[in-house]
Amino acid sequence: MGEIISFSSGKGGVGKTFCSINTACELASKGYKVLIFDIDINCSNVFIMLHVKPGNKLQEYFEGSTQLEACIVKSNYNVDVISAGVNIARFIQFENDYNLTRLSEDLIELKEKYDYIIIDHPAGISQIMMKFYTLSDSIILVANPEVTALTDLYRLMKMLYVGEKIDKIYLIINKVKNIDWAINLYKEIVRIAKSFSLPVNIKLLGPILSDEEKVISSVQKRTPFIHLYPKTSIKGGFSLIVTRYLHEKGTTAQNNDSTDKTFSNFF
Amino acid sequence: MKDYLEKLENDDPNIRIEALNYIASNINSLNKIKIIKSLKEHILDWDEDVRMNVAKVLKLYTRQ
Repeated sequence: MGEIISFSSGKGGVGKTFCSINTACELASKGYKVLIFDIDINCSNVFIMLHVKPGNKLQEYFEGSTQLEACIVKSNYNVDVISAGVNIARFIQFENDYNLTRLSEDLIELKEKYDYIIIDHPAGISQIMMKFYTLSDSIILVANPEVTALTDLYRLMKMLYVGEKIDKIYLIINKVKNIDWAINLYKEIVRIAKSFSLPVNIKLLGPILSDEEKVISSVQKRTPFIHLYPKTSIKGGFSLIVTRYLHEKGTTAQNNDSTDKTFSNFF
Repeated sequence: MKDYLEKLENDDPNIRIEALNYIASNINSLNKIKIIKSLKEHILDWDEDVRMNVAKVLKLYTRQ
């Protein structure tokens, strides 16, 4: 039985999709079977970055003419994709929509076929998306050092907590100059959460260093960063994130070597 | 020490691991602050074996 992981952010433009795609590729490189479900109905672009053509499959699914499994498209990177495409907003307008319930149930069924299903959420939070947080086994939030990204992140955490969707949040801090910067931001986020009495356990999975030029190049070439630039600290960041996540979830052996690899004394 | 810090930046993971082994076995004679600073940058090393060794050496140096 697989796991569903929601990737989200308080604010757009922090690199949420970049992080979800590269985490998915990193999991796939470790031999796991991975599906990305892009439910960003306003700005779906996983299919662009993984160079696949989703067509209007999800629309056909909502119209009842096909099954969810038939919407899966294979990419060249051992990561399968279901893309929201551009025409589905009208099908899922309300939290209790039949379509949304059916989609949630069918997504849970896909856990039988995949080790990890990564849901790439739209930025921010809406009532419709609450359903997907509810069915997730983990929630990974992505932030960058901008003040607005951090305040929006806090708002998102609060809404998730109030909506009883979480007691633990995993965090990726993207676009930082160095590790210390990410650790300081993480401490600041924890401090703010505590000062507003938000009893959420926040766990930093890792930092992703900034390299705008290479990131733009990977998007333009429609190739996941870790495949295009496998010998970089950004690739190292995603590898560390996956190592720490798998250890945290008890998926890897819980011995000294495995614990050392997570740098648990350092973060 | 300078040679080994340079080897830590080598493209070949085996050479980086060789440098880490040297750093680990010479803990009493090396400048710990400089070593820790260099090792921190390799927490995000792209090679998993190098990262594993960095973790062990970093643990060794920060315990001292």
